[in-house]
Amino acid sequence: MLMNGSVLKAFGSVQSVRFFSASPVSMVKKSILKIRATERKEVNLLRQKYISEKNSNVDPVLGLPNNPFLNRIDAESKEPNVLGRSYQLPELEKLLYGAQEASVKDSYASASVSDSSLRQREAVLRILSMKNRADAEVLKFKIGLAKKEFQRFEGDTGSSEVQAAVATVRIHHLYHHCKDNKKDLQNVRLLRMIVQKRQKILRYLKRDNPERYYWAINKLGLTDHIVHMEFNMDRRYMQKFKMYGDRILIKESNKIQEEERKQRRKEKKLLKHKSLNELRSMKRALSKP
Amino acid sequence: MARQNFIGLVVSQGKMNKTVKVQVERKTFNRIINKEIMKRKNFLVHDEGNIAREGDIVRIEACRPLSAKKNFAIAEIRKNKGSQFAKYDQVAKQQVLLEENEKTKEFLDRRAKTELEIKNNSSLISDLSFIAKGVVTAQGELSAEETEKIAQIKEKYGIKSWPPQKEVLELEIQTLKEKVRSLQDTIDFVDPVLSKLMEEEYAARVDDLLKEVSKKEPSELKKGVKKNILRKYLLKNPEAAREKFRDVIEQVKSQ
Repeated sequence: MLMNGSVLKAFGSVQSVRFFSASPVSMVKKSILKIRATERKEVNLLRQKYISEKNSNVDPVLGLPNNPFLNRIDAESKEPNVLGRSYQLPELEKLLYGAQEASVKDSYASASVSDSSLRQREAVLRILSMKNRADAEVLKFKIGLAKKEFQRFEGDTGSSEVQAAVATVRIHHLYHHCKDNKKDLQNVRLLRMIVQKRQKILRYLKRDNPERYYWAINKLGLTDHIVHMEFNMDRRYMQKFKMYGDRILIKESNKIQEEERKQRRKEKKLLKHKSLNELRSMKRALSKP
Repeated sequence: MARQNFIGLVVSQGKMNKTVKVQVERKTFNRIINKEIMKRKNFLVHDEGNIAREGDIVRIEACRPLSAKKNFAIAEIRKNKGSQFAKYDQVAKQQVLLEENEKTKEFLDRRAKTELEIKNNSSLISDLSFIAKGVVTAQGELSAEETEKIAQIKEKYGIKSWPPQKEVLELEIQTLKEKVRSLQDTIDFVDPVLSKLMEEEYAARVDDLLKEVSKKEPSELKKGVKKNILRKYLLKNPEAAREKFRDVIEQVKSQ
């Protein structure tokens, strides 16, 4: 009963429901007041923890999941009519048609020549298809698309938002490479450097043109907190955001492990109270992707 | 006694209801190093309407103790930079959402179109050979379906006559080449004409033109500046210049 009342008191919304309001505060034992105070403190600490976790739950490298811009660029590079070496399909077809015409100058309709040139077309398209090109070329194509969407004017390749967009595309590309090749430490270092460089560029952009900055970060699926936080892509990050799956990369000392376990137990116990709906919903929102 | 007053920066907001953290900087004299240093102190400040945002600069004023750690309240917001940023963020979120929806739709349309093309197995080669076949066969033998398809293909590539060499098979590189050539022509024509115009005998005509083009009087301009303005004019309006200085151009050509 006492426990319930004190927990309720921590929340303004249900303050009117007091089970022991008959006795004035001065009559309550000092030890009981102390217990209530510690409970209130624990609830508040837990709430603070959830609030701070809300920011730190966003991946500082990849940003928010399912970013439409990056998804679209990815899909665009997988289209069947996208060719490597920056060839354009209509241009290529014209060239092939020209070759066919050159081989039969006299008659426009020669079935066998047209058949063989169709086979030729198929072969050339297969060779040039983005599916069969090197990774670097695919990346180049994606970067070209990103530049086009972020440019301030035609041919702009150097403004801060373009630089940030290019960095983001490269980061996503390198991240998947590093994930698959976990011994490629050189590229992990490169990835780390690009992530920090993107932060710097975006911080500058916020000073320079805040409107454009917010547009850029929202488009790239980043948050203000990610841009301004102190971040180094270390093992702790890799473990927290499961870059290499559930592998344990940092072994905590027994003391810290024990501390964490204690915290978890305390949290579980606190969340059992009926009146703490707000905290429970906060926790649920955190665990949602 | 006047109330205590400070100006500070809001460094934390949204973590406590009706409360923000405000950082106040003060200069204090350090006797050991004999110079003024900045000292910072954080105050928990009451914000009744939850209006302040992180990054705002506010004036805070002492009030009666509102809780164990809160003795100040926000008196005014001096610079609403933080609120402005929060607004930008909100606007940007909506803008990006609309933009992305539009772009995604565009992309899906394009994809559907390519899928259709692949399904129909259409390419420039097969399309044009189809038309060629239609031209060769006699008029009466084509079915209605085929005539319609031929008309569709002709419309797609903008073909008016057969054989359609020019319109259909114009490569981008060719158009670029022509563009470069015309630019080169203009440049080639500008240099000799310019040097001719800078001679004594054309001074009056050049001055007439400069009166229209430049902001200053021609007499005030130096020779180099005159030449630059003239070059710009010739490069930008080659047609009008050709009309105006026809005799000069003919002279240059005859040389």
